[in-house]
Amino acid sequence: MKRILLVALGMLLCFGVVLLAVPKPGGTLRVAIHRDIAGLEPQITFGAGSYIVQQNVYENLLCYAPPDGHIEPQLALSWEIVDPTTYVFHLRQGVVFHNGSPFDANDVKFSLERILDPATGATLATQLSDIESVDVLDEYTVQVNLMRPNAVFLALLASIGATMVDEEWFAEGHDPTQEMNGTGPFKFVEFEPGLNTILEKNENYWREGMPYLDRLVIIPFADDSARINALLSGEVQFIEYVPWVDFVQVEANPDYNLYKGFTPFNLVRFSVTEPPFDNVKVRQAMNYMIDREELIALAFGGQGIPIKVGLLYPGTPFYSEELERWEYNPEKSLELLQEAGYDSFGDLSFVLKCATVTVHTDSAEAIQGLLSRLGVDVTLEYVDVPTLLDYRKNGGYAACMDGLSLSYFDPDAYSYYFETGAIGHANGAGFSDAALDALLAAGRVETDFEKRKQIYQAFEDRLLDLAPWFFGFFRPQGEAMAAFVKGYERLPADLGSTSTSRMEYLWLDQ
Amino acid sequence: MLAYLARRIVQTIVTTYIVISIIFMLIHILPGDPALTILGGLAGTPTDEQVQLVRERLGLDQPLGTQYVQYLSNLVRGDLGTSFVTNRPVIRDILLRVPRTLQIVIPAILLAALAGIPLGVVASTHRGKPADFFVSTTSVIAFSLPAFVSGLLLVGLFALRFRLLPSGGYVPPSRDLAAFLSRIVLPVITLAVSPAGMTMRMTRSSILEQLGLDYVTTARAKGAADSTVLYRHVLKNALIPVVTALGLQTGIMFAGSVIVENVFNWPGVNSLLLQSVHDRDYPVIQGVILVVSLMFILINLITDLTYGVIDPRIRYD
Repeated sequence: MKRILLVALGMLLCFGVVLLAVPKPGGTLRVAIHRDIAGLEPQITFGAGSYIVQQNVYENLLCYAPPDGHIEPQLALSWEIVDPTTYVFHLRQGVVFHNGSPFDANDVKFSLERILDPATGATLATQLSDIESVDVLDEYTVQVNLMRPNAVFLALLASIGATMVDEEWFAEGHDPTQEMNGTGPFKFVEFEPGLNTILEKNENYWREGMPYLDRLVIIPFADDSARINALLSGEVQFIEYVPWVDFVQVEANPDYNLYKGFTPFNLVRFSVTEPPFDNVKVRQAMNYMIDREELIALAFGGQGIPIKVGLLYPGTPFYSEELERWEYNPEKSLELLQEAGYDSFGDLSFVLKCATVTVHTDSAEAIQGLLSRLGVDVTLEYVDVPTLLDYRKNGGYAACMDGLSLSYFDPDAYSYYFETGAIGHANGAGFSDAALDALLAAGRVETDFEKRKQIYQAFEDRLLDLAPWFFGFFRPQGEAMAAFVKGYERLPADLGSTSTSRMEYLWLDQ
Repeated sequence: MLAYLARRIVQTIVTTYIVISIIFMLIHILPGDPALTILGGLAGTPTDEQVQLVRERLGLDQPLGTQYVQYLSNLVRGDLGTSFVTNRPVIRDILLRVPRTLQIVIPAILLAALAGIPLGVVASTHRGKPADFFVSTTSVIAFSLPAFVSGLLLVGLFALRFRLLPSGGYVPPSRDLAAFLSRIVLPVITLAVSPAGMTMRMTRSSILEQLGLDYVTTARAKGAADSTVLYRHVLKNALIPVVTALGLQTGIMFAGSVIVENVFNWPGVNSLLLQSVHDRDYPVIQGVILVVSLMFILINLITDLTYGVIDPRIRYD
């Protein structure tokens, strides 16, 4: 009798646990973002806050999935790499855009060509420029022909901005900056700058039973305190870009969950054409002169991971422990300075420009403090964000504080900064190295993983020798939500901030 | 009177023209390219070609003089242009947001007057006594507290600690009046703190000044009670400089509510200006400054006319 009761109890428990884990449909989720969405345009990326809108209304052919960031089918069900320059994609059938128009191969051709068109201003235009042509083989089959092999191609298709749009909708003359028409789990309802953006459940979404939420109301809260207060007062249930000062508070509170990662990295750009950083020894010396642990403690309350190599995140497949070299070593730093012709730290002085963004200014001030302890004279000069954007492209600094994240989850993302003429850095700073260019070009076409890893190891080894930046640290970033918001998973490493493009998995346990 | 008004209107047009011309020059001198914001901002990866195409589309590649003339000719036809960033007509967003700033500014100035004037009267009639000391100290503290300090204190207390009021945000009154009213309380109090302090002090000193004048001595000699002297004679005279100051404060508050709008996430016209400067969204910057200058001038004109109503000695010609 007892045994029967025990078995019954066990079954009841299992049933109960299953019930608990089953997502409940319904509800409105209010989300706070730190920067208002700048536009509704699908193929231009504006940063993490806008992913919530763009990447939940529009979708890609492929997407990244937790827990390790592997690539999964989204609008493309399967694909074949016929030869290194030919990819064939088999599309998901029965998918419709929000206006009812069916999704097919013509839309894929149109979307990719639209990205490549310079008039669009698409973020991935340069990266996808290896696409030579797109052929529609039949209603649900597309062939993409590349000019040369490109090992990054699939990763790019899964990246933010490689979105699929409706050819007929564009032909009808709709303005993509004022309206949205995608295949994603949520439909666009309205947008008022500074007030909110409202998205509604897509009843015809191709994923069975999803999305669970009925509505997303996305509200910009530029002020850090206002944003965290909005979560803690119940005004919103989900916030992105949690200020690091609030991490501990949120983690300690059982009514809220914090999902954090260390995706973006802080660095100092050096001009290689202007003194004092035109001398490579000085740049190398800087990388040994600053105590990264102390810098993190000062600027981010200890939340951060020092960079020991380059921009690849520790633990990701291409990361090389053998290359770890950066550490706080003032003796070595002084040696390098002396080799460059300086007698002591006190002989070094420079202007450090910094944008008035908290996550930059805190680091810049800490760096100034740490360096002045050694006797180095650092003058801080504050500029605003548009000026920083100008500096990134066109130079105009000896040293400039910055914070970035890799634009896609592949070591080829280095080329955006360090290839000769690269608009992300090399162009403005006057940086150019033929050996690095050759390695980047080789890494892009090599499809064998082990050989690719070796190429990028050689690349990083040489890059660190040239030290175009002070490679600082990975800084904390996170989203916080009420404990009853379930289903959120943070993608690893550089993909972390794109985790908000998966709102179809969220549900409210209440 | 009509001649006075006509002169003021001409002055307004000239002033506004000068303001918008200066702003036009200033924003184009600023470093930073709106095309870079449009192409993704901090997360963007724009190529030279993309930037060039955007600049052409927005007319930014034309000589500054041509852009200026184009802007003025559009303005005269009532066209404030379209936002570079959101592609929405500038006038639309300004018309949406000016009322919201007024929704907090007007109640704030009324609250400042309602709180400040009576307390100033109390302080002046109890001069030297504890009541005066208390009011004077309060007014100094209120006057000195920066808006973000008082704002965050109020949020911490009422929204987080006691959960009585929301921490911020805006709900249109047509959608939910109760929610709108609950959200307006804290921003209005925050905005009112500083002018209330100023009003207390001004009322107090103004009344004390009036109490020393001949006509008060005369009234007392004729047997009028203290309260009659105060409320029938002195107060109206004492309030003249106070009303003037409140009027000026309204204009300043309207133009400067950006901190309160930020702390409480109130989407008013000043947070629009801040965002547009941040984005280098020239049409919006110009549009907002034009509207805010006009409103500021209008408020000052109303103040001057009110001055004439209160003080019959003032003539406008």
